[in-house]
Amino acid sequence: MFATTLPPFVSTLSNDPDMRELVELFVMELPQKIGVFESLLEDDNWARLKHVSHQLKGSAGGYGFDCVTPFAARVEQAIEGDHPNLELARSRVLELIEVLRRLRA
Amino acid sequence: MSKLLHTSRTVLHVDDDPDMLQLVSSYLSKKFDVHSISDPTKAVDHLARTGCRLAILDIQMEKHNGLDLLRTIKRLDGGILVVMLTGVVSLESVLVSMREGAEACLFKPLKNPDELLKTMEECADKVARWHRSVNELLVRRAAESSNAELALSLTGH
Repeated sequence: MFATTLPPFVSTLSNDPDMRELVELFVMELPQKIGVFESLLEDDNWARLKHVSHQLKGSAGGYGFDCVTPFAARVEQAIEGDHPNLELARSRVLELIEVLRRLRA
Repeated sequence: MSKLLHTSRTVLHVDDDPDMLQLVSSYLSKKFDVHSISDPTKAVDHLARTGCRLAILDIQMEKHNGLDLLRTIKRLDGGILVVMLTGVVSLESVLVSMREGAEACLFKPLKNPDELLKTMEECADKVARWHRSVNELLVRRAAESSNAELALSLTGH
């Protein structure tokens, strides 16, 4: 995972004793998630990219990362429809990856 | 605890996102026995095998659409109570869920986990109410049967 110079996004649930362990696990698995996005982007696998973005849109907020939701939704929207704008989608996936790199427990 | 009462506190959660399975299990596990399944094609078999009466379904899954799964479950047993938990925020998904017999449609990301807990508690209460009716019916039948036997013995028939 590349380091980013932008400020981190810290989970809003980091001080929740019931959620802390789960949030740490979610953050620990981020490099793997980022790897999946990068690999799908390399393969131009837009159907899977749409699906994993949709999943992230639904789950990240539950781990205190509401900041991810609009970025994941933007990817999904760019891929949706009969004539998706794949260049726009590509830039939005990269944008989402950058957000994921900034997440901290 | 009877098997029927036990199954009213068991929830099957079907979602192909492991992060959601983890999250929902953590929200509900203090009050419910949560069975998490990431492969929707195994859901119906699981329900039939375990007798579980409560289910939470995602809609947009890769292998299976959750609304189709809702229909299949309701055909299997209309008494299984289903709650949709979905990232598909559309009027259509709400209307179809309602028409096909879902108890509720909640949206991801879940802003308030208590809403899910409250919904599942209401479903569990509904299942428990039906179980009580069935139990009362059995008791009444047994009583009627023994009263009839008593009457027969008193009349010497």
